[in-house]
Amino acid sequence: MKTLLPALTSLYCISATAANVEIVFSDISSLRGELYIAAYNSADAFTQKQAFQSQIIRVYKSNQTAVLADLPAGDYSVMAFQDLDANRTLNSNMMGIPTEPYGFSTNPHLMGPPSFDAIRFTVGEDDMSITINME
Amino acid sequence: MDRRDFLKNMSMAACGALVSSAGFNALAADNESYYQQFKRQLKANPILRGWEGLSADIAPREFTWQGKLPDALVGRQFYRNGPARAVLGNQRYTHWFDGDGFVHRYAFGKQAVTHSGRFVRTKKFNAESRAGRFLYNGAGSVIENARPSKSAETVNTANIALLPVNGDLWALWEAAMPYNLDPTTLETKGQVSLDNALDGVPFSAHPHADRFGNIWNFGDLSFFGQPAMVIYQLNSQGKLLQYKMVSAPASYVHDFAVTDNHLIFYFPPITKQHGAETLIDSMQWHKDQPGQLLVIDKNTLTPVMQVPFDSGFVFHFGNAWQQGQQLVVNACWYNNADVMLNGVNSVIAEQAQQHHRSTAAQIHIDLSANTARLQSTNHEMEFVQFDGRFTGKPTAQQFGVYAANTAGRADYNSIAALNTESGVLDLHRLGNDFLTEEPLFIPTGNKPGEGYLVNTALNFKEGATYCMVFNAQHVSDGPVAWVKLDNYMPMGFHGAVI
Repeated sequence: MKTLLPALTSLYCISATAANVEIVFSDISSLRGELYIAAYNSADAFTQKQAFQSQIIRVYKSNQTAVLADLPAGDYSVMAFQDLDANRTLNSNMMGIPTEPYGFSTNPHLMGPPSFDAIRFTVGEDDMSITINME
Repeated sequence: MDRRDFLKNMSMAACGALVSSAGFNALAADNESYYQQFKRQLKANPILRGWEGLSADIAPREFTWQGKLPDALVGRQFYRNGPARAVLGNQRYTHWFDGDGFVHRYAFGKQAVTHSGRFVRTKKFNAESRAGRFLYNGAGSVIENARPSKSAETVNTANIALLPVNGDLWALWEAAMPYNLDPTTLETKGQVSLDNALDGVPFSAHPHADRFGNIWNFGDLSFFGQPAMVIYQLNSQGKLLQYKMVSAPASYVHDFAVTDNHLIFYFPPITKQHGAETLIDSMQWHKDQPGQLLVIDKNTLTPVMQVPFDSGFVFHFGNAWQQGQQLVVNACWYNNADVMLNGVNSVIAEQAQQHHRSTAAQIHIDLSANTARLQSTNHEMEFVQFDGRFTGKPTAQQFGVYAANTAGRADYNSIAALNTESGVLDLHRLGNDFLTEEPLFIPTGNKPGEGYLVNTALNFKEGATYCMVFNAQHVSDGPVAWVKLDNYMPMGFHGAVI
């Protein structure tokens, strides 16, 4: 056991500078398709659509969850949409308004696309949970 | 809840009902909720029954006709839509326009009427029913702990009007898509998607059919910050034939007029400011600026004329037609936008007389000279209707609600047929205990204006809503048939007859 301790300690140290972020997607009305989730770690990355982490998960319950694992401490923004027709794209109408469910971290009150800052939240050393409203 | 919000609710009533100066002096301290205020005021002021609202669907009940229903109307169904769920939990909307849509059905039998009613199961209605409380701010009401609404579709109440199409009944709002109802059971079947590109795009509450079987409508994109409209052309079966986005002033527009070749819009000098809590709070009236008239060619869906016009406001248009290079457009003309925005101010000042009602007016447009002029009358009319068989043809008879001797009030207590050529008025006063709703014209025979009017009206003192039928050519004779329901219904907006 003694020989393992240094290794365990170093693992612990890594996890102390990163955290798991659980995302609860609330008010999903159509239990079908997939959720496309993208987390960005800077305004530049957000603008260039360079996700720090992304996931695609199947939707089968109205409060579907996902976990962004081992995010280093820092500021993030998350965007998600539900692909109902399996075209891997967020559909929109002639005005450019999305016609499939979507949501942002912090659930901002806004019309139109958000900025990184408008939906930014801070990840520290502890695991955390956020809710993204998808209605 | 402040005094202003309470009054705002009532000020909107001028659109088809009333503002009474009585009862506004005894408002409670600010810490009384609007829900409580209204409840208390209702006891002293039965006129508020018109806005009390409903909380549940209404099962079919039968009421025997008084008088005699004309044979031509046996088997017809008359529908009315309007805001009805004004209370949920212990919150009451402060604005009339915000209640969830409720559709009444009056099935006309030879001996009796069967009345039933049902809330439109919009996404909003279902979500708020599950939550047991209102979740979103309305067009004029602020809700405690309101959720952000991502789009107008989230708060679509489907509470303004109805369009019978291809065996279905569409319930319409003005900033989102229609809901589709079963015309017999009134069950909500889903939303109407005309085209994927049009999902979530407004389809306004006043579609109009022309003489050629086309249904025309618009969607105001200024709700989304775009100075534009979508123009829709549907066939008589409700199938989309074409649509086009056209530039238009960012204002507020509720209705339009149709001739054989043109669509005519009026944009009042209203702008929407950012940062307001509700849509109506965001609206600013610019009395020193002109309105704008916009004429669109039906064949190309492109604007052919836009000219500055008198500063005023229009909810509803009547018939319109072309004579040479002249367009004649009937409208209910307000000299300002108080009815939409500021009616409250004059109530606070206890100057109820200054509540401007609309008057029957005509807009004359000269297409070759690029000019237009307003020709108004003293006839205080709203919710005007005409013989739809003659859309785009010169017609003289115009039907609607009318204000006759409503001293000190801003409601409409009468039903009228006005000859817009001769000025002759055929009027039936229901009396000052009544609030009248839009009469619908049902044609019979072949002559223009030959037919019947069906209408609902609330006797707020009795606490009963009436359904009435008039001979459209003898309105002053009073109703030829009527029933009194077993309860009172909230004041609604527009209807349909199948």
